[in-house]
Amino acid sequence: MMRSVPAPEFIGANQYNRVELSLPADPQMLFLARMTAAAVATRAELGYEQVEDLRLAIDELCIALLGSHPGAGQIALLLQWDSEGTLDVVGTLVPDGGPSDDQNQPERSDAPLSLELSQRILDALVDDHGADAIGGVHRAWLRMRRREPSL
Amino acid sequence: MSTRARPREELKELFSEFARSGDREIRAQLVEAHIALAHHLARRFVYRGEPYDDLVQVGSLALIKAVDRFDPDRGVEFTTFASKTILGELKRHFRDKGWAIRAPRRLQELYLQLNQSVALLSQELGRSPTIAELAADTGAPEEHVIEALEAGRSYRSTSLESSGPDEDGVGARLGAEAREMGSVEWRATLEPHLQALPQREQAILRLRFVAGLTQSEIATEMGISQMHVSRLLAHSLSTLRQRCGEVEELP
Repeated sequence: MMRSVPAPEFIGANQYNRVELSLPADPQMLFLARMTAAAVATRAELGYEQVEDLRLAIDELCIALLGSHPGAGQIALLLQWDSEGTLDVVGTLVPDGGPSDDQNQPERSDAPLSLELSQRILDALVDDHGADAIGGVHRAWLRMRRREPSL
Repeated sequence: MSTRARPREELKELFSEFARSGDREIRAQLVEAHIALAHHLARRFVYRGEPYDDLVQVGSLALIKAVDRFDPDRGVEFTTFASKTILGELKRHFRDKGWAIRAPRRLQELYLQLNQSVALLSQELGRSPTIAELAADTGAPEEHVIEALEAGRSYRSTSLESSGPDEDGVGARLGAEAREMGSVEWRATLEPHLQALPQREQAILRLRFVAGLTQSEIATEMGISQMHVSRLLAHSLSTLRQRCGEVEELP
């Protein structure tokens, strides 16, 4: 699933610059994620254009997490930024009943075309992104750095 | 303006006569004499994503309304009176007709205001403005700016909804150029789905995700506002996802 870039390290991170949001795994609720990300991007002093790119990227990240089974469980989003204007978002799909250790859980049948689309779009929108699935828990993340003004 | 073509005194007399008689022929003459005012005011709104002809139509209907309501004995110039009426109708047109989902009026107005602020500040600063700068420029709190941007997703203009071809437009040309630049994988997997989108949306997707242009660069290339590019991108990605069989259209 997507590029294999290590997830951002959050352990010991400054809690002040960190926001956590949990929302139903339902595409209709993604506006909450977009608005939260835009508010965080504002704190990181990203420009309007990057804020708009981030909103699109959040959609892609969440949709990649939802895969072909939207509506089951919750999406937990963790957003963090620093004074240098680096913003990380990690999304985790928490299935109903919590994460499962069942290694025999069947893999999701995400359409390759959908994943290809998400990857292409995220490639263009953010600086880094990646995803993994461990113990039946799907994660996806992205990193965006504040762009210097282009005069 | 065509008011120059007819002496002021003559127009005054026509207004007085129309006020007395309500003669439809005189009304037509008065509308014709001031039609340039409707064009002039419609031009102020062309960067908001609506076709110019539609705006002229809204302005022209408002001009007729102004002619009907004008009282020549009040001592106010007709152009002053009509300008207020026409501008009011044009603003109402954007506020009421352009929204797929009813957003609160304050957000609708702020969104339209932001459209201009983004363009002006980008030009002044030589970079994309921050949300804080947009808030300062519009006099709205930052959270309202963020809300308005989200609400803007439900704003639709005629050109956004148009599914007709745009073969002669700049969109088609630029889209074709960007298509040539796309990777083999992109072309093989996504081109068939892109073909289902209107030409302009195809072009914008290719320019952003294949050619790697920024939203502001696309806006400059295509002669539309940056916020319009944002809306078109969000809309076409949602459509594309549907085509790829993923999820229903995002709100």
